[in-house]
Amino acid sequence: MNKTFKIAKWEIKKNIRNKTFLFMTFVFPLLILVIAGGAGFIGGSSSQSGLKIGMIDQTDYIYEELNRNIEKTDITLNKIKNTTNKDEIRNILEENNYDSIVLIPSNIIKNNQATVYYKELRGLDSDIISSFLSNIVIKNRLIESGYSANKILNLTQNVKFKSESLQKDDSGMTAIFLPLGLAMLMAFSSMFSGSALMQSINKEKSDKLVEILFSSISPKELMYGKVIGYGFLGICQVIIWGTAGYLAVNTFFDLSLNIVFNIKNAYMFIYFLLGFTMISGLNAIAGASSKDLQSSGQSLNGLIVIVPIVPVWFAGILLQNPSGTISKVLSYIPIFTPTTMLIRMGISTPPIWEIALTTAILALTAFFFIRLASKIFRVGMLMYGKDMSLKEIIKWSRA
Amino acid sequence: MEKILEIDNISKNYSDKKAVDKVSFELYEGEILGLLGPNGAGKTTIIRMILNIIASDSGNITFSNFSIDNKEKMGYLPEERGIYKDTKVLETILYFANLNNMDLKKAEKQAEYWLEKLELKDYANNQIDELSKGMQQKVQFIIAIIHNPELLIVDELFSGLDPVNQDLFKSILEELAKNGMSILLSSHRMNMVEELCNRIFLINNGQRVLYGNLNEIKDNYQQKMVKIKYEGNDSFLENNKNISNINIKNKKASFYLNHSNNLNKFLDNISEKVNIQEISITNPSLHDIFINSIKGGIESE
Repeated sequence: MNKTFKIAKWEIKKNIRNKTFLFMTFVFPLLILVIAGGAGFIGGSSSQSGLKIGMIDQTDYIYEELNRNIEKTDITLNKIKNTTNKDEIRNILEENNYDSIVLIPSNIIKNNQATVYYKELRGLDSDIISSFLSNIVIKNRLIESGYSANKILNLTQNVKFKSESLQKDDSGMTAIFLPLGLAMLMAFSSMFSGSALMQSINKEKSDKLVEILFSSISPKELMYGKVIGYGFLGICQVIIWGTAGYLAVNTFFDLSLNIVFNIKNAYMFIYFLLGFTMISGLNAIAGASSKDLQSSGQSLNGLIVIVPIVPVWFAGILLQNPSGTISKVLSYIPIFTPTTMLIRMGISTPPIWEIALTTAILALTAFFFIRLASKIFRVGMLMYGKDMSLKEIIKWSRA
Repeated sequence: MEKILEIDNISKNYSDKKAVDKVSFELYEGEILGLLGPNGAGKTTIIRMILNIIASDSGNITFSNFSIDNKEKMGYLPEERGIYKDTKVLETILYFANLNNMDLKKAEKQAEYWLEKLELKDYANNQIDELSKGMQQKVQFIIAIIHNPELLIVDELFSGLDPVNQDLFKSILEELAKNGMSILLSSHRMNMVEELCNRIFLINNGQRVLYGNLNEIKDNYQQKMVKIKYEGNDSFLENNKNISNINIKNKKASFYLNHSNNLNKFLDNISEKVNIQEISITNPSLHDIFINSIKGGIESE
């Protein structure tokens, strides 16, 4: 086992200065942050922020009240001179850079109508003004009719919903985001570090290095060492990407992710790690059994990449009925276990025996894949320049 | 000399083909044993079985001082040569030394010694793909011997090397053997094998053809090389069934005497026909023995 870690250390050392790896690890999440930041900025500017409105108030009292009521919003309200001349209003709007100009006619209490002059109407904005304005007009109408306005407004208040989840270990959005985020990270990181692992295994085969290596170490040690080395690099990537994603979501979107270290999240990380290892094993098999990366290697890698994504196609069904037949079937197909279980755990808590059983199946499968890869690698060494057929792979896996 | 390796009756089949068929030989301390045979004879399979890269179907491979799993006691320079391209010379050497459980300080010292000896000292921190092919081969050689193995296996060490470097490696192998390292040398360069090896093992079609002390093999070899200068009729060798490969030019003849057990009778026979002025009867070269043995092997099938 000692030699396994020497190999892992060597692979880490060799790759950590590799330009592609550095780019993927650091520049990629930066790009995501920039894109998320941009999206957050654009999203923000489309709301009422910085809205500047001119107001022609023919009533002489609505402006003051409205201005008091919108104090807490980003809207700036300016009173402008009284006119109904459209050309003049256009000039004022253009000169002062108003987003719109609202005309409050003197008979608004009676006629219930105001006018908005605009060049580009922003629906949401006029809605906000309109609701504030309505409250003032209704209040004044009530007062004019001799009612106790405040009392009636209090009595006619709309109902507000306050949502509260009943999941014991739930922390709001995190419950859905964490498993989906983990599934996505697993797909991405196994795509990159898995294909790097595959390439490195294949390269040692095509570079004829295996014979020298095998005079010092066993194929098993080599394969475990590589899987551990690339796994470590992949997990480092995941941590860096995950941190970047976490920051992006918390900083640029109005979501607050709060990752709690509870037992359920611990299970999810186990699924993540085992899933990652299993996909590494699949990549190792692809690398060991193909002649070069231009041939079957690439297409095998393409197939492996979709493995963690397949259960996402069923996400609708899984979320609707996390303990239904399809959910259960997918949970016990080892290559789909990690993603399926992650999605299921996002919205429900499967029974402990199911967690234990699927974890065991997944761990055994991951181990089996890596062992198979080392066997294929040893035999494949004798067959330079030849792709292995499935029949041969099966034959050698029994050897 | 102490025996360090005994190979006893090993066989290996690939599907229906017998790659190695009941082969036995021994290797002694400080000895360079030549492993010879045409391409595809089974040499690499034997080497891989000794290194425990593949298992034999039957028979035993026994090391006197360690078990076959003890890979750090062996060093190997394969014919199919590969090396990391994007790593530096010294770190690559140290990595392999580390894989053979060598202490880092000792490995650094040894690496320095060998880099100096093989004139690579200035390239220690260069990337390997910046080196010429010959230089890369030297790095591979250092990787094979840095941990001072008890058994060194070198496959076609001399191919791709210029004459100066061939001589350099020849003297290094001699020095290593003198210091007690046992070396299994697989090569097609018969002149090198003749100069370096006391004993040879010749294999063809997975089976032993010749094995033993090179001089004894030559002495016991029935076929002798005859060169003769004479006066008389060129037809003096006609109808002699005991000779082959005749070459006659300007009253000089060279040929093989196929059975040398009756040398007097042969000399009497030709001295009756021509006047012998000069004659030499020598053992054949390893090259000739190799070719004749392999051809004979093929004919006898």
